[in-house]
Amino acid sequence: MRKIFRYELRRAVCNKFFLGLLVVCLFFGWQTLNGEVIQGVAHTAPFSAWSFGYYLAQELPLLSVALLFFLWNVFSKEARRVNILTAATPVDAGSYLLVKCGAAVTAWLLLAFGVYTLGTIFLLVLFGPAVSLNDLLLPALISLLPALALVLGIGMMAGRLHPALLLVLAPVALAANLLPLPLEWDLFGATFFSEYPLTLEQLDPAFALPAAGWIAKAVYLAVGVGFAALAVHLERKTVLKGLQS
Amino acid sequence: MKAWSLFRVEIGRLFRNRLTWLAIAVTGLSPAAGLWLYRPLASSSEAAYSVSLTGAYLGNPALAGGIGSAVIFALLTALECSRSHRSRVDLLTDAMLSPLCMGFCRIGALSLAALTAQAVTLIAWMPFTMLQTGSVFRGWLYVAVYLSFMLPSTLFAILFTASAYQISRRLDLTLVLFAAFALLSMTAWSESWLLRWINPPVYSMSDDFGNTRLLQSVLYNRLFWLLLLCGLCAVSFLCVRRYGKGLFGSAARNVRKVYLPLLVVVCLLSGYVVYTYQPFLDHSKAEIDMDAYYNIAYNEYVFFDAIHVEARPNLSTGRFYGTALYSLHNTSGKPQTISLYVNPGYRVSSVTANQTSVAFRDCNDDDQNTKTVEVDLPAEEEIELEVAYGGFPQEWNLQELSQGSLEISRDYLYLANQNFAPLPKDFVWETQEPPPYTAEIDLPKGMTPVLFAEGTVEQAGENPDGTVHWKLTDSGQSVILYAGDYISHHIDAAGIDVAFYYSAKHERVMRECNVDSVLKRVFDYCTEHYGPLSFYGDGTMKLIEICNVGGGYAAAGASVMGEESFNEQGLKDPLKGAGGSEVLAHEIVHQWWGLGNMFASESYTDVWSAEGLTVYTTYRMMKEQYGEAYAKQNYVDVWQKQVDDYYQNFYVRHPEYLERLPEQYRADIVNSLSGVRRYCEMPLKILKAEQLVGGEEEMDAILAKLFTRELDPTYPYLTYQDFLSACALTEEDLDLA
Repeated sequence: MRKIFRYELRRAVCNKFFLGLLVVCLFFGWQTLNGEVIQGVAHTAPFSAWSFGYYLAQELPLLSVALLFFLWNVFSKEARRVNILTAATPVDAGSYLLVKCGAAVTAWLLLAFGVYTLGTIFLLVLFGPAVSLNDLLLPALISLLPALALVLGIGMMAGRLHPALLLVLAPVALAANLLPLPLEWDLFGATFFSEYPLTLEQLDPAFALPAAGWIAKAVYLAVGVGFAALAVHLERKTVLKGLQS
Repeated sequence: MKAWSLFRVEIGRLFRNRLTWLAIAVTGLSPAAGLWLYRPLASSSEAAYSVSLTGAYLGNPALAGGIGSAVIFALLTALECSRSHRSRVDLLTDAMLSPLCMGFCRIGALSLAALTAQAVTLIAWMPFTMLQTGSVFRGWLYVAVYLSFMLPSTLFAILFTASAYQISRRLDLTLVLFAAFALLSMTAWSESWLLRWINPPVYSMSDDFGNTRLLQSVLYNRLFWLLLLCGLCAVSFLCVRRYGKGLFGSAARNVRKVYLPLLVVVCLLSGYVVYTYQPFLDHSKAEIDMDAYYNIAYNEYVFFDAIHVEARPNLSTGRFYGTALYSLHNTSGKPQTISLYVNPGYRVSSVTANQTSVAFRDCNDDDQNTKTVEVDLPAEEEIELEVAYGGFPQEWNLQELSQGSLEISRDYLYLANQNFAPLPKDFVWETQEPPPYTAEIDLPKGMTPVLFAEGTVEQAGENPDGTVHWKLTDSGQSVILYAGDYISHHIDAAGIDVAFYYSAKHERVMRECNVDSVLKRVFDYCTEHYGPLSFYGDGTMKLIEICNVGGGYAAAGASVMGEESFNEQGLKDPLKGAGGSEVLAHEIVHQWWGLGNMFASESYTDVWSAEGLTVYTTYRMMKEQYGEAYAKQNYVDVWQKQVDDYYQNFYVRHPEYLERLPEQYRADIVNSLSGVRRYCEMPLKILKAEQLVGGEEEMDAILAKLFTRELDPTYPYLTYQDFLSACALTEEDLDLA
């Protein structure tokens, strides 16, 4: 399985498309850093956890589209054509799907790491010792992970139903920051990071997620993981059924 | 295979390639960058990016599309040109087909793909542009802008890249050369209007009036590069490798095809001629010598009693011809020589004195957009001097990157001073009152002339060709003439007749803003509270909307305002007023606070500007009209909220971090905050000053005194310190924090 993972990862990462995605993400990130983050979000410092969270939240629609493209490589008709061969091997179909999606997630994490690194370098160069890298970790984790899980889960289910649904999901992901959700339930968090600090009636508030925010993130995470598990289960069942028939 | 068949095969092959369609699709999307990422048109406001609707939704997208499509098609061209070499089949294909013919067909097919991409872009963006620009959308302008800004950039990229590859035969080197070529246009050549091939210089675009002169200079830029790149392309065809020979060996073979070296010579020579003899800009000296302009030795014996001009603008070509008749009085009894200022683009074709030809000399001494023409006068006492002149009016070379002001088209006409008729340089009138200046001009129906200052225009019948004959009457030695689809409103306000001239394209917006009542209210209010404008005419006042960005000017009974004051986006700015009519009032209040020498040229760090007093005056007017509650809710509360927000800004609280940033970031941040400071913080400070000086009446008296103050000619501007001193306050007294 490790060999398959490495192969799938190389397939996802070592190509011009990944490089292009990385360039686009970094370019967009650079624009966001220069345009909005440098001004400081919600009256906080540009190097505050709020501003950094906002930066990542602005990147997430693009990163989500990238994840959907990685999943496209897993679920596209061309990729599914080899199912007949893989089904004949002693490899468990569910585990195989999991490994392929794991490679897609890893590729996505590499993209996200690139974006994260760009943000931290930008802040370190401009503000030096005032930047606390530890403080930037929490907003990064709570914005990236639940979004990753949800988009992955929904993407896996959609890809299983019909690969074209992944392309339908792409514009939805791009518009996700525009959805009129309550602050705490903001999927990628752009509105949350830019508006919640203003409600705290305190200047330069320390980064904290309200209880409702934790619940929302946990729900997104659980839904994402649930959908992913369901997709794996269905894949296993389908292949088994195919073998029996 | 015949060339035509090969061309068709090449087109088919190119259009079956998915990469071509990707290039076409991305090209179609590339104008989007002009909406937010690359906006080269100059903003009329420092606080926020603000340009005309045509500029925002047509000019910027077309320019961004030009850069995007050039890069995309350069990549496609490089890949296509290197395809057979990369696949190592070039030896086979060269054996079957003429590499020269193949090269022509390839460039032709790529150009066809670029045309397809342009067509897709035009079709895809039209609904969006129509929707956004609304009543100012003009179909022909939309097509012309895309075809002159964007398409040539794409074709030039194809020509350059194909040429670079044919010469170097290296994909990597070709791409590096293209990158350098594109970067040169955007950096080292950015100050030269003719050298900017990928990003032609476009300073502003007009919604209401004309863009023809701008398009003419852009098209000329395109012609120059087309010739130059065709020459380069012909050179590259000389270098096409043949019979396994190297660069020079192949060139020695290719040169036998006589048309190639001939094409090189013709194209490069034509390019040189086009560059050297461009007709748009004069050759004024770079150093501005004001002494030479003002210290003129006047002729003591020659005077003029009247000037009459027969003006014949050619609205299709942008050229202007005229005959100027000067009634002269030579008191010396001897022959004299007089001088006239003429636009450097005009050529004087004949000069007669009392219907006898006289000698004249064109000095070709271009300086500050004029040149001198000397005329020898006979010894007669009364002379009718007739000067026939004309040509393409040239703009000052100092403004090469912001061309377009001297427009002569069916949309707009602007002819001022020496651009309208030769201007007396070293002779004046001898009477107390300035002598009459009359002119006659034919203009198409729907085009109304307006004279600046106290001049009047009168319709004097229609010509058989449908044009309207106008008589213009003014006085002095020159006129400033505007003509466009003007609508005029006459309002009796502040005891004078105020005539407001604006473009018919703004009619709906102006009607919605109740332009008549707004004008009347502003003139009544400001004249009563601060005093009459110094440039009121003899019981009349003209307010003229003109095709210009960056404010206006005023004198002798007239004031002009750039069209950006009335653009629909600007009229929705909540910081200027609570609605369209209130923003319109704000713009007209600028006649009192903001014209001429009222405020020093603004820098982004300077919070004291025309806006503070203008916003405050608008607030006071609305308070008087709608009551205190309305004014507080729509003005004071809005300012307070914005200012509260401003004081909470991280950099305002921690200026040490701002200092730490590189200059560009610092400027951007300060600039982004300057709008709030000028439009909200300063009015609040003036409001606080009003309370400290004892109330509204006292503040009105102070402002009236400041408005009517005696000007110090060495520094005629109203400073913040002048304001504080007049209020007997200090900066600290007005601290809001």
